[in-house]
Amino acid sequence: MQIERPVAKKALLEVWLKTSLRHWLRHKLQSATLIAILALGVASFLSIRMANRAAIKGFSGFTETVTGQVDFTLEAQGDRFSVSWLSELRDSLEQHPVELAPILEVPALVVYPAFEQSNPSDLLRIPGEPLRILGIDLIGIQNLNNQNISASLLFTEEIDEEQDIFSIVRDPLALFVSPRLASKLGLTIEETIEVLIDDQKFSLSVKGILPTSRSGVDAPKDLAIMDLPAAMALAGKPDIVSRVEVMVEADDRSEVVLDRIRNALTEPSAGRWRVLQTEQQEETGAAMTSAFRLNLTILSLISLLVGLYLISQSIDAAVIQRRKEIGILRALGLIPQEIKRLWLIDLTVFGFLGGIFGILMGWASSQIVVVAIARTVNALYTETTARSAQLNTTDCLIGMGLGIAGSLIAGSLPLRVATQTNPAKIIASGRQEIGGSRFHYQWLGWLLLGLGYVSSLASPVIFSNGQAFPVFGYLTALCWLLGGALTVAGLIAPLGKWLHRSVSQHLTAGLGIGKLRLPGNRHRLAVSGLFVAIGMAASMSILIGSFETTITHWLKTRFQADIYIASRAFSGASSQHFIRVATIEQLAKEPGIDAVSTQRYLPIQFQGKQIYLVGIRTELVGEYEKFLWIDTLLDLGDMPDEAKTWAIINETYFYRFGYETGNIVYLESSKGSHPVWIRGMKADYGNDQGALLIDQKYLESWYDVYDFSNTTLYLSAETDTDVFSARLKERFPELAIREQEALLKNALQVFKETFAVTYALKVLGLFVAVIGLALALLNILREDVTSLHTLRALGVTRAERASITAFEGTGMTVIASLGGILLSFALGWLLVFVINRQSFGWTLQYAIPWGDILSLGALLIILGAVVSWLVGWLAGNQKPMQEE
Amino acid sequence: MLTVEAVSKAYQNRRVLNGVSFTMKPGERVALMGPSGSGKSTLLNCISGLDAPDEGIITFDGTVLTQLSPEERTLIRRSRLGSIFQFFHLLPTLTAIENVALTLQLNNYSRSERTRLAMDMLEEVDVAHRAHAFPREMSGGEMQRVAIARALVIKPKLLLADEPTGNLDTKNGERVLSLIETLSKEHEVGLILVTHQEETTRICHRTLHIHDGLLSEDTLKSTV
Repeated sequence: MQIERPVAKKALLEVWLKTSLRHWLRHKLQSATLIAILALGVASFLSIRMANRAAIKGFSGFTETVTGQVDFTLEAQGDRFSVSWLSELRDSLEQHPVELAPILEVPALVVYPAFEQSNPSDLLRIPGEPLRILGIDLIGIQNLNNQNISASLLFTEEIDEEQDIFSIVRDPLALFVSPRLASKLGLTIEETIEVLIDDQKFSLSVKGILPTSRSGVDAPKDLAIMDLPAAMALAGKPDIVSRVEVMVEADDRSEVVLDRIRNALTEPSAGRWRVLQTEQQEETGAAMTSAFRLNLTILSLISLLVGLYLISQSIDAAVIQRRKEIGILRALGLIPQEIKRLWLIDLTVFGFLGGIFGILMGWASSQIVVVAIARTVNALYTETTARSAQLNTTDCLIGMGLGIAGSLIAGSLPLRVATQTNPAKIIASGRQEIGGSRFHYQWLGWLLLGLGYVSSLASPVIFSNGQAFPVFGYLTALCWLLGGALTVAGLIAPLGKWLHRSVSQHLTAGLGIGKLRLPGNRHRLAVSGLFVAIGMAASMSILIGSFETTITHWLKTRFQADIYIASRAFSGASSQHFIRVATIEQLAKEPGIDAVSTQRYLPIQFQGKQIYLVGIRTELVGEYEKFLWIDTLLDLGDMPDEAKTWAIINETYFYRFGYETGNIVYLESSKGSHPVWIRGMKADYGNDQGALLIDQKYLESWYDVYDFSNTTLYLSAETDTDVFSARLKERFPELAIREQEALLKNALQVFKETFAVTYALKVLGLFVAVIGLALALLNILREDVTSLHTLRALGVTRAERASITAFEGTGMTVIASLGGILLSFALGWLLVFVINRQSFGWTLQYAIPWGDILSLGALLIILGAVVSWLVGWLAGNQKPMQEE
Repeated sequence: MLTVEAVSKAYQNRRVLNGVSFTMKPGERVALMGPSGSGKSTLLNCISGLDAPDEGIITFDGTVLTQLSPEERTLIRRSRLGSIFQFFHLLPTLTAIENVALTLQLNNYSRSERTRLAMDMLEEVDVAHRAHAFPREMSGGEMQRVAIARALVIKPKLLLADEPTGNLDTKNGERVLSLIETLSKEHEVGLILVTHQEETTRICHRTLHIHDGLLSEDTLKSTV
């Protein structure tokens, strides 16, 4: 006899249309929930990915929008390229068809009246519209071969008349702004705007709106253009440019030609500047924040993972709901493989729909996330201009892929249950016990816990820019999460028996807890999910608690001056808004001051990686300038003769480069190589790239830096701080003047805002845990609906049945919470001593916020009890069988 | 002891019971026979108070069930009714003795009394040696005997047995049937036995036939 197998695809599709599709259309809420969970997972991953990219693009894509095709960029230490070097360069390049475009980048702030009135001590608000004025040689750039500046924004129709250019050059306050800025501020041609540069205010005249480039690229909102000499005058830098862009004007752009030009650019350098090719420059920006972005990506993957857990539970519910239908289809002749295919269609459709909605939601949320990420990148690395994130084809493909893959992965376990359905049993009794030893591998759990510990001892992976990524730390976390989940799942039965002994006298508690003596896979999965959720949420609390304890201590040690002053536009170590020497001199003359301390953050390249060289007044260290020491200062008499001066390093510098107290390091500048003795090491939680503090006078003599990032004033005992501060604010309206108390308060506020994302993760963890528990209990009750009917038949009331489920759920939550809290101690240790130290080079004090953790556990147990009772109450309402 | 008067019940406009009436004396054993979909289980659910009829009156042990709320009916079921099912329906997470003791616990017996009475009952049905086994560790016959013990341990006035031998082999079915008959006699418990099999009705005093929701009565069994 010939057996026809398998069922034709078309027939199978028809079966799907008549069974699955109808089921999902009938259960619209269930379908919508599944799609929403999938979409949320995809959205969180995509939004962080898009926001990351936007933040990076904010600075890496800036150059090409101005001068078009740039082949090389010349940069000097501290972005200080001397104009005098240009003639040497031109001599060296005489034979080569290249054009040089020196550019001075001047950060500025458009001040508009609304911001003038805002609280000047609010660190979180930049008091105006940020602007990047690019000083470029407007006449020189006109002479460039237009073919090579195809992406140029400038000099299209509106201002291509030579006369116009000359009239602009004659006006030292002429400015071109972007159409978006003009539209936002309602600017028109010839209008005057107030602009803050460093600690000075200028009135600039809008002479034109930047046109859209020929290639259709819109100018970034914060881009503004000035003639180079005018920009130099405004910035107070008459002989310095930020960089020089080099454009090759030759038809032959072979590697050989480019190499020859590169050599001609490098030869006269003598270490004063470095030559970057365009791709290289973009890579630098991307590599700088790679560890940070990877951390964020991992966070987004975690949210996808918890999403998968919920999807798995939801699909499991659907399988149980449709078990009878599966049994009938099996009885009618469908083989398990065909049942599997039917479900695969379901999962793919859900994945597809979840992917589509996820992409849309991801795009929408990335517009919000981008601002937060850009702020963090600004504070830690460099200023970006990112304001919106773009969606591209790759994102769409990744979103769809994640949605479908997520759906298929999450559905694999319930799918296995569906295909194992025994038609005879299902049809006879409507239920079937599903066996499975998936979670019985307790030995594997212990093994993973051990492996995790071994992995935590490994060193981090170091990126080309020196950023460390604690890959083994994350591996440890994964091992402990999985190992812990398997172990705690195996502990349900013994703990259930132990708990049952003390409550067996009580009817509902005895019955509810008694069920845990024989836990099924759904119990194990739910407890594992709860365990992971509370473990992660509580470990976040430990990390934040440790940060808070350490940072508060650090801030209190660090902020001991009375008055802190910076440019009103200053926004972090990477800020390019400075206080000029004249202002410091004026400030120092104010009566009532004991000491004036200054800091200047200068980003420099050290062994090919960016660090901050910080100019300070070393004579004030100890008496006035207080640090949280890791290594206290060595005796100055021990300084080796070869050293020109001494420096204090921060902990990150030590972890990134391995230099420690007592070593000598060499700092490169255009003036040569300078040996510096490391005299001490301090804790520093505001910088993850490494900092070296030397006396300000060396910044001046080695790097020609004569301005300051900020200054702090130590007042004499008899000076009234409030009166002094009020007077200063009146005299120096362009400076942000903050009292110690306000600054400390603001710094802690910034800290809390920075960790806002972790609070969100805690809420997400709790939400997932409780929803997961509810779904699991619902599935357990649906799976064993007969027991419910039996209890009902035996005379157990609906309230009592709900109470039984409540005890069952609470028992599960208690076991998961105890395990999860233990896990959080281990994960907290890992985050503080391994992941955090390897990522940022910061040592924190390990602090357990008992109040937070216990309240989290208690909250989860209460929520678990309430949700379980509700599930029991709702499920207990099912009517008896009505077959006859 | 039980009076069913003109009971009707419909599900989704389909009349499942159509004016059913009958009475039962204390200790009387009645078989209920009928094809699938005839309304047997619905009638049993109405008597046990799991479901309420749309029309008619059911009086059990002097209480008018049809006037009670679902919660009050549950309390009647808890203390005065015993149930046995085709698929045994032991709670899978309780041992045999815990399953039996459960109904006693529902009726507020002390722990020592529960253990003693449950053990006595298990001995009576000859599964005392399996007292601490979970249902998954027992055979079908053993499970049904534990279910009988659970139903009778509270000394109910009426035992409702829905196809009690339907899921057992002939030998075990015979043993369970004899056990039900013996215990019903010993404890003077009334019995409603829902069955498909004619020979099963031999332990009953009379047989009620139900067809399309209508009831007809057989003559008294000579063998009983």
